Amino acid sequence: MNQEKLANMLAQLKDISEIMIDLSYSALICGSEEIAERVMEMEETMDKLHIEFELAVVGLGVTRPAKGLLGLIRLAMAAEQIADAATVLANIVKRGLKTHPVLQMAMQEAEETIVTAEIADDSVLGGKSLGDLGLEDDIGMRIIVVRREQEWSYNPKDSFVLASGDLIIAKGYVEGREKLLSLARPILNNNQ
Amino acid sequence: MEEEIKYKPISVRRLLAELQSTSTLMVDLAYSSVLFSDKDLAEEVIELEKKVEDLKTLLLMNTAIVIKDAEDAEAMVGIMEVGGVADTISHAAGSISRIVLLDLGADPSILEAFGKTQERLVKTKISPGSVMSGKTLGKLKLETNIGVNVISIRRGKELIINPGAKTTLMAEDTLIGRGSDVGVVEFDKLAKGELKAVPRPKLDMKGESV
Repeated sequence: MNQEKLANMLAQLKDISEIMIDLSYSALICGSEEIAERVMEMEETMDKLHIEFELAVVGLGVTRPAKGLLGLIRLAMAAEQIADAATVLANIVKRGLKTHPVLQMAMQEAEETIVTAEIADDSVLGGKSLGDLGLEDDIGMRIIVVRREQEWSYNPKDSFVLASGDLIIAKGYVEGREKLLSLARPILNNNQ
Repeated sequence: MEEEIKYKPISVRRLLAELQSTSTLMVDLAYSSVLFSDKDLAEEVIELEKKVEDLKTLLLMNTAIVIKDAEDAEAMVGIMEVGGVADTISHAAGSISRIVLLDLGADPSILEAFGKTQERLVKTKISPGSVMSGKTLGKLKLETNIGVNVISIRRGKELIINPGAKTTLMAEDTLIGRGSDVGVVEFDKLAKGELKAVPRPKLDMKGESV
């Protein structure tokens, strides 16, 4: 086990747990069983990765100070706890529990919001790479998930090219939300 | 002995929004406390952990009180679960902060991992010539302009958590920001005065370059 791989795994545990939280809140807001299902799948990935990470840390044995290794184990465990919390949210949707409207109102009130949009045929987003669009730096919205037909991409890279029909889930601040929606669905928004 | 919590009528919507935003903020603060070995920040997370517990209890009371029949119960259970989830996330943040408080955060892989995550955390100090100095966060609009959120400000002995739009930044403030790898670099340069103006969005509402 080289050191870089260990750091990669830890970074992944943090990233996956955070995407799971974002996804599960958005599943709750739109009542989407499909998104909830993704959260469940990610939990399996998370479990495997967590065990692999713990074994790697234990494997380091006496080569590093024990206190530091315990810190690594606890950090990963907290990420796992956060991921578990996300599955509880996803389960609310999967069990078909009615989501009270007040829940959606409260979630949209938060400074940071999750927005789900389908890219329309006449949207400028279609055919452009995330790097070229620079949405994150321009409007403060980061695309965390893209669904194209049956395929799901998490934390897509700068080289990822969007296409019309893609479902995008983005995270950002309230102002960016409206901007992203108007970019993804220009006609709909101009008519409003 | 802890103070007893009594029922207070508070809107469920407000409680939920506060539970969600506080618990999310706590995770960022907790990771920051580990990354920057900051025990004060870690203590702050532990304080917030108690606050979230109280908020959850108040949420349960305020939902329980409106339940009259089976239909209400079915509609409210989701809300109660969301409160529980925020509490779990808050405890996870508490566990992360305890890593710092117990001096368990020194392994080099921790620092390395934080350099590889999607969301980056950065700590920086405002120099006297910085464009940030003397401006409110509302005026700077760092979230929409560069995608960076200021999660804490250290001003002398004072620690400001989750500053709002009205907070004025001052020279010598130490900020912790969260954003993309590109955003946090811009943020750092703005604070140090190496970047003279806040970069403006390059796209307008129609996606045209401006």
